[in-house]
Amino acid sequence: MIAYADADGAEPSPSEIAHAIARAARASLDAGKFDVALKPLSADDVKQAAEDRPVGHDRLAQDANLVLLDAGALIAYAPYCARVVLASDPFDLDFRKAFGLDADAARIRLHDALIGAASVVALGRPVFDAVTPLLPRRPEHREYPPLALRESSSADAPILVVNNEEPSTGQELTALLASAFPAQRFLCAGPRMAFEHAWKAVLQIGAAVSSRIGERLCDAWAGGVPLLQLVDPASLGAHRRRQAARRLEIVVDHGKSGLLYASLEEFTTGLGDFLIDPLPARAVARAARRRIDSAADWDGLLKAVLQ
Amino acid sequence: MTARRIAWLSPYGPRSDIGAFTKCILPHLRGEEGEGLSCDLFVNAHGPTYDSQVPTVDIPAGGAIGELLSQYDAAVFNLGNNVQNHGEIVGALRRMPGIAILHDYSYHHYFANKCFDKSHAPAAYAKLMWDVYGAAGFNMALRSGVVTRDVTFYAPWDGETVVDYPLTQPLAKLSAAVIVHSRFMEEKVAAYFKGPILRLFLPSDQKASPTDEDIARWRAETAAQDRCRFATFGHIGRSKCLDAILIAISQSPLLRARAHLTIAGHPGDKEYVREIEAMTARLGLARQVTFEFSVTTERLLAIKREADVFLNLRYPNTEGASGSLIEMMNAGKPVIAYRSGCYAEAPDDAVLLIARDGGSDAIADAMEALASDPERRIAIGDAARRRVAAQDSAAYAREFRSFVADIAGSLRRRSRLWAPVRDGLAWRLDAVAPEDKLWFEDLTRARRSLAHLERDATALSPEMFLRWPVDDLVSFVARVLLNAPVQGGLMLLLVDLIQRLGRWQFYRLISKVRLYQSLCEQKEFAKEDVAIFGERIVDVAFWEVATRLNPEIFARLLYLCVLERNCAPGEWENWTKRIGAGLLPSLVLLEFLASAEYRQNFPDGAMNDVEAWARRVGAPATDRLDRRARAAWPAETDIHFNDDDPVSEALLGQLWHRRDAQGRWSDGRTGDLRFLLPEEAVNGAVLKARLRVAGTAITGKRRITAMCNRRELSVIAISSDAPATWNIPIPADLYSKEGISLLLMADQEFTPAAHGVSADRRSLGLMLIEARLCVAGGKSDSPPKEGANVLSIGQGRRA
Repeated sequence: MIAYADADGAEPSPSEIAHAIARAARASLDAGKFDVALKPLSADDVKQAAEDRPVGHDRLAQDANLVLLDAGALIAYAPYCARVVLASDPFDLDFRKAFGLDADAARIRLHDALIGAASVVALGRPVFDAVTPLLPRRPEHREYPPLALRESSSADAPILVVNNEEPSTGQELTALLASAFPAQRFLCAGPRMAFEHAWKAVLQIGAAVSSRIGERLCDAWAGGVPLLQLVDPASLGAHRRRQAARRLEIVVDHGKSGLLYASLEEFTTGLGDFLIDPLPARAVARAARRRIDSAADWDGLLKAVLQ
Repeated sequence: MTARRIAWLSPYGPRSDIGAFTKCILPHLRGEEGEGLSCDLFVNAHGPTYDSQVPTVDIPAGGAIGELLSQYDAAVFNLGNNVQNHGEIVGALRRMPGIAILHDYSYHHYFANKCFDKSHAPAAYAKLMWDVYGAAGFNMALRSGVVTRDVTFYAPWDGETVVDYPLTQPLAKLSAAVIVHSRFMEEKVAAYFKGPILRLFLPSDQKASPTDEDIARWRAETAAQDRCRFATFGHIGRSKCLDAILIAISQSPLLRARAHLTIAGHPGDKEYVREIEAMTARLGLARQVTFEFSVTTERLLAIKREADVFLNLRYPNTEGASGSLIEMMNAGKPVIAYRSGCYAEAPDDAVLLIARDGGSDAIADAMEALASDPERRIAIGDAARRRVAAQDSAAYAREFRSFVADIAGSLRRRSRLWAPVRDGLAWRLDAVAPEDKLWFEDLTRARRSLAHLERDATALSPEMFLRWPVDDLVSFVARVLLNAPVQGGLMLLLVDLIQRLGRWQFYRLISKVRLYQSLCEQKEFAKEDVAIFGERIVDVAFWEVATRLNPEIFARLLYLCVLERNCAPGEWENWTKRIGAGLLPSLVLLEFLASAEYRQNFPDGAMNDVEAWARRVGAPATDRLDRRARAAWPAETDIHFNDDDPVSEALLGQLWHRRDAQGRWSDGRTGDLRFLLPEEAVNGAVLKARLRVAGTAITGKRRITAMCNRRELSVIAISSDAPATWNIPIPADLYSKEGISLLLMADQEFTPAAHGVSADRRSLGLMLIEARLCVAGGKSDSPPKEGANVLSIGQGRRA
């Protein structure tokens, strides 16, 4: 059973993730192996449970596979020593607003739940980085499997701009592109933006270090959306050591998984070429989509969470 | 009427006195037909066990029988301080509240074993002490040294402080009801325990004792004899105060002449046993004192028969009641004991109680008084035997049965609150009766505290950061968590950070520092750790704290958190040495940020804030260094670095070894020169340096970079160990009022001993042999000459 409670700000919301996991379990290569039930909790449920189930008195769920997804469920089921999946930093929440709880008490209870958990899976690097220093056992780091963006070849489909550099850089660049290509609609990535439209292309500014779902390279790849990326080779050096293994996840392989440009001039020219003749970029996007194996990624995650 | 069913949890073998207690009590619990208790015995297995007349089973590991125990009318947990004999019993008590028989006054050893032997968790121990005793307990733990990595002055569980910090509370509060064996314990427990307490006694028939005939025979003999036989028995340890007894005998002519002392018992504390054996020899008491280690039951009985007087001194007193005192009293002989703890309750006519602050004199007085007065010996012994005679195991069982019947209601209510509880059998919070509310709050806290000892051994909980007073929190962070040198204002910095960041962000910051600290404490970084955690940390607050860590940790941290890489064996030691020699950590951080490696790999300026901070913090120190080195480099003059002359000394910075015959080796990869430009160098200058490196045959070509103010001035590649000449341009615009700080940075260092080249274990970067400053427009083309004279210190161009 996956328990979750939606709280403001989390994206994607715990309920979206819970449903995605349940869907993936049904469609999994191991379908039938996982029988996932969902247990949505309201803010009142969370608050009431926090009062009714003091930490210290451990509890055992009838369902041995109780999975707690994010802060709300962790607070509610803190004494259960359950499996925990974190899709966002559970401490980074307005507890008063979300659940009507005192922030300090909620944080202490959350921490108790985490140190008592049977296992903790952190979805995404930022979550892993946020919780690892606080826990005696290192959580398991997993990436949320690719979530396909929708592709559109319609002439008036917008272009998604994902800025991984300073905010001002992104704004300036978008303004510049808008003036260079006035017929196009450039939309800067923001909360919930990525899945609200079908995209003509995705423009990545800088190495794609954002782990926000919808803004990763793999989400564009999964949807077969053409990808154009501008990366200053010098700045790539900063990612050289730590993220050497991740390079393929944050920078496109030119001509194979996207189109890579080293200067703004080249990038603008490349975008112009794409708008005149999108076929080469779409061919690359189709090839990139073939490299994505969402089912395998989901199976890996399901095993980590449910087995 | 159906007999009540009870589960009796106890050690049950000869390795535990509590095992003997259980063996003595169990047969009496059934009582007379229809009114007694039906008992199942759950044994904390440790060594051989006695035969049992009741159904018996070993307690499973971790005491995982809470649900089963809840099916009994009562579960009785015999608790002692020894982990081997009681660990599983405590495990079971954590799962189900029952009747706890507190045999000891202190349970500090139990927790010490858990925190130090099992989980190496000094921080968790410090937190526990704060949870139970507040700031006083926490500060005691700090003072003792056991929770820091400095010197340990004493172990709180073995020292005198154990009387004030017995750590009984966390275990007592797990219980539904408590049985104690002394008024002393009853008063202590009643101060915090919110439930029924029964005061009983240790049964006098637990151990074999002299018969009435033996005692009658002794009375006749002791009245007639001139000599007096003293005896003491039981586990031999420092708390028995045997050293004080030996001093007392040695100081008393009467005792020297007429007393004999038998010290019998298990020599548990070997160091102490050696100490008192040596003391006996030194004081010349070989004739008066006999040691009998690990005596048999028969021999112990013989000692009881033969002795005229028993000594039973105890300090610190950690017992809830004294089995040995009851045993001695039941032998019909007088006992000398300190008037403290449970001993103080002994009736004055039945035990000779003395004050501990009377020292050896008080002991000698008491021994002399009894040695010289046989009638008094007989009178006190007689009173003692009469006193304990009625307190036998049958009486104990009778009162116990009555107690179980009396508290049946509250016991039933409370014992339902077992944990972990399955959803199918779950109790709800509203199952807690109003009269149990306060007790339940204590139970919750106790269970959580014990769970934290296991789950949060490194004390990562935010609780301390969010709830503790600032003073305690700061001490905890500085001395326990970071274990950093507190000199140099670390405490003030932490207070400042709490105010600046708020408690929650302060918690996250310290947690992050601790994570990296723990990585740097490992012998070497695991590849996986470097891949995961090797990242530049751009948070200035992190570095504010990190620069206060132990130099070794800090030096290693720089590789991980600035260069994002592992450090080669020995690479960080030079930095540790330099920090040890007085180089500020913030300056070391600056050197990392100014290194060619950093600049080549990370041109993005992400750490600019950190660099600005380090520069600000290091500025006063740099000023200090500059003042020392404020000397103008004499223009057009050859400076030789194999001399100890004041000119070359004034130009060299701190990063050099002592001079060699040929020149100066840098201590590690980097050497530093600090100087003012002479008046003539108005348009800049060129420093012509003659230098060499070592070990190129092994390490290959070496590359040296000259840096000033983070500017790369020149690079030279050297492919052999032969001296090379290098022209380093010094542009005029580099000049500032602080002068020039020139860093010569080799890409590798070389330690000859590590490669078997020689016995030289020094880390060698580059050797500066001689140098000449050629000013623009001056005689700059002439190479450095040997033997030229030097001078003009302090006559530099002023900014």
